[in-house]
Amino acid sequence: MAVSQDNRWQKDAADQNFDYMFKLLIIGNSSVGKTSFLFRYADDSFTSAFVSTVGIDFKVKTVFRNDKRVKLQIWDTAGQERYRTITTAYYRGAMGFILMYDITNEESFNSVQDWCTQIKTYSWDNAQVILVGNKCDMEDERVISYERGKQLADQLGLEFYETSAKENINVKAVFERLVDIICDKMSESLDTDPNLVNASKSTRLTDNPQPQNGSCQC
Amino acid sequence: RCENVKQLVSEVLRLSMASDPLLYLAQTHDTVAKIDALSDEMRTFLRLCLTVDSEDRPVPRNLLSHSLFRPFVISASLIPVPPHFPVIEPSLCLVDFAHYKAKLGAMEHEGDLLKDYPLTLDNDFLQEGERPELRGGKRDKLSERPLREVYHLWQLAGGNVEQELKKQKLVRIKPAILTLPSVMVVEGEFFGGGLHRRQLLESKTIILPLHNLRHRLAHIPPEKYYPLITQGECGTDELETSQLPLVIRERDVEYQFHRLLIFERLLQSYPFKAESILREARKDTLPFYRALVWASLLGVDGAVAHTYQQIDKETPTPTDRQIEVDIPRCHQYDELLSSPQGHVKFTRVLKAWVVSHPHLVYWQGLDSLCAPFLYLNFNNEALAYACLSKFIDKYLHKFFLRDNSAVIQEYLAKFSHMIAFHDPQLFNHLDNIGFIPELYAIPWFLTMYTHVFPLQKIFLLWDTLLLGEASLPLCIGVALLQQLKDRLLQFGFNECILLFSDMPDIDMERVVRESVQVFCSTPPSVTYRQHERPKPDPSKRSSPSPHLSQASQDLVMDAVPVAELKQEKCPRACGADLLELLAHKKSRSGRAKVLVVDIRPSDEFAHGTLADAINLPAESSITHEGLLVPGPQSDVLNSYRGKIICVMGSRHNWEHVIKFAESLVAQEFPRVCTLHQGVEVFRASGALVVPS
Repeated sequence: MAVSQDNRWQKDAADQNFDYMFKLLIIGNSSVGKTSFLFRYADDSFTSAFVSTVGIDFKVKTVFRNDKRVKLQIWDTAGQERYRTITTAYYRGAMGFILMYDITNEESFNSVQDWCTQIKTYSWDNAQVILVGNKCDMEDERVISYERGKQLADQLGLEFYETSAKENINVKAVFERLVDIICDKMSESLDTDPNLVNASKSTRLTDNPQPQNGSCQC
Repeated sequence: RCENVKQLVSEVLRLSMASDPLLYLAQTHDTVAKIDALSDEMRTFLRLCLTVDSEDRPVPRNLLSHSLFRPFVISASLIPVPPHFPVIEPSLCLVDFAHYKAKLGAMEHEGDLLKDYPLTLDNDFLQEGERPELRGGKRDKLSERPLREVYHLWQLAGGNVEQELKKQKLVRIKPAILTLPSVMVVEGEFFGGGLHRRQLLESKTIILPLHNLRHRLAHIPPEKYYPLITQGECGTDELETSQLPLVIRERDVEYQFHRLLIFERLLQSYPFKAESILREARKDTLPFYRALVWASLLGVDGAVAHTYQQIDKETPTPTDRQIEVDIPRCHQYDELLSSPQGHVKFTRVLKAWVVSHPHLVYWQGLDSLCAPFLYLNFNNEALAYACLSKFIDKYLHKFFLRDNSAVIQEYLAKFSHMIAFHDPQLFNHLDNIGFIPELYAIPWFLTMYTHVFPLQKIFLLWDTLLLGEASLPLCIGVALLQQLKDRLLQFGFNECILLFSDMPDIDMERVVRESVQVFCSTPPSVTYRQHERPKPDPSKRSSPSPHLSQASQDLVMDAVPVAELKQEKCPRACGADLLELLAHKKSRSGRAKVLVVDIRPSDEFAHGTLADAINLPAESSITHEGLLVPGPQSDVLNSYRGKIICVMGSRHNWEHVIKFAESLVAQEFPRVCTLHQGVEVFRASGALVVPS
């Protein structure tokens, strides 16, 4: 089993030409714009007629960062609260999270704290999180000020952006920043704890292809 | 023989010349007293039915309005009896069955009235009484059909309203040259020109010409307009068209015409004709009556409209917000479902379902599930609601519980087993790259594919889905994977997830065909689920004595903990299924449908095993590399590749059974299953024999 897997990953690496693979998750309440955000980033498209996400959806995009080719495997999750039992099973092995709320929806903002707890409970400690207030193009309907968002982010120790998938504001910046802080964390760990090198490598090599190990307790 | 014909003709003539055919029949059959004993009302009714001149004879629909039937009608307004072009009223087909039965019961008590009730007389008479010279008679049979039907057929025959309007100069299109813009600015904006149609209301009535359609239907004899549904023969089989592909059948005027008549009559007789509807729907479902055919396949009955009306769809509930954000994202490419009216109806039906099922909750995806029903019953929310409720109860039993993880986990585990059972090569690959059903199949099953495919494909898929058992969706999943197999085998994890996140074009007809094949080649116990809706099993209720059924109790499938299911790669089959497969005697090739591989040590095997089983002891038959040790028994096993292979061991050494079955899957043996609860299940039934 292990042998065959190594072969596959060598093959995959050769085919795909990447140095790292990061698994990222986008989470947040229903209809805050997670799927739109992802489509804007991966396909540079926007339509207001997206379908709701049932279970899980994916996109893959390769970016260049510090001369490294980083393959991003981005998991887009269903937002409805009930789905948490299903979606938290996918948290395992995720290196970064985009936690999203809708600046025109108070409830989605109030849930941020909960989502944060979910991340702490179900993902590994080094996972990086960015808080994103989406739909900042809808200034007229805004109910969450930039300051409130920033304040909450500081309180939770997260980076913060306001974005618009529709107007393509800050979408790319969020992903780039997330990749950067994951890279920083990795090199930081490299410096302090050589054991973690293996950890991060093994994350790349085995955690992503084996989500079944962790995905079934729900 | 000649005598006979002569006699018959004179008989028919005498009957048709009689001033009172009823009296004549009574006299010639010696039943005058019996007829006299009937009520006046009944006699008048019989006379009406026996009207000699077909011109004057009422059609069944008219007869329904006879006072005789008054007790059966809930509300007189439900029966459409305008002289021409009545539109079939869905609520008519779905009359309150309980009410009807109660009435029927009451009548039985009243006496023998029912015994002589000439339910089939109407049909019999039509058959004999339709005289050849009346063929293509003066009356226009087509005009007796509901207007919607005629319009539908008219369109199939090439009719196009817009064309007609153009012909009548009610739609005018400017010559292309006049539509060019007058001024165009550098930024690309332009002024003037453009396609311009007259928008004023025109009160003129135009008549859509029917001659095309009439011409297409001219050769159809009048008796075909009254298909005889009581005799089981529904008469489209003789048409050559019935052998052609579905796409052609759906566009063929004559074929659709025959199907329309049959389905309309059967639907009028629902629920009594539910069996016949099922039989006809197996041939194909008529797009025109799909909504009602589906409703009848789902067994919708009762006072649908009344029930729906009773539900509070207005009071705000905590689910409202979720429904509100989901509906504008649900099948919005469709004009009906994206219209403001569509959203309003959508909300009401979903709210009604949520409110009326307090033990279940709204899961995202329920909106997609509702969409096909709402689309088909756009003007009949009550029926859409009733269909949705019935559908969920049958195919998604317990899926919408607040905590549904056990149900979904079991379903996905079974799906994984199905993949291994039908396509071990694909299973090994997907298993190897970690592309597990949890990652892609939740929307497939939770929404019965409505979240994955556009409505037109769903109709095609569900036409078959609704005919089948609750396990058919699993087979559809296997058929889907098989259609994408070539690509999946080449792909790594990332490509696979991408392939499914943006579903490629799928040949749905092929999926349907292949899923039925998958279904037919799967022993029922393989798809057994602990959480499926319990089947109404009359035999179980009638034999409550436990000692009697001990032997058979051992042989049936029962619940296996989800954790165990997920550990195993192969499905389990129950003893009863295995015996049934063994009972199917050998085919022409001389091979049975199933090979039983007994993996116990040879001394235990020698003490008793199933007839025709081979013995491959677990310890000595598989090499370290997981390959079969060559030998005569292994050759037998290899020669059965493609048949069902059931690995049988002792329940006390269950891990051996699993390991052996897994090594067979790893070697790409298809249709490998294990015997649930081991060889011990046959002890009580005495199926074990000493091998020769």
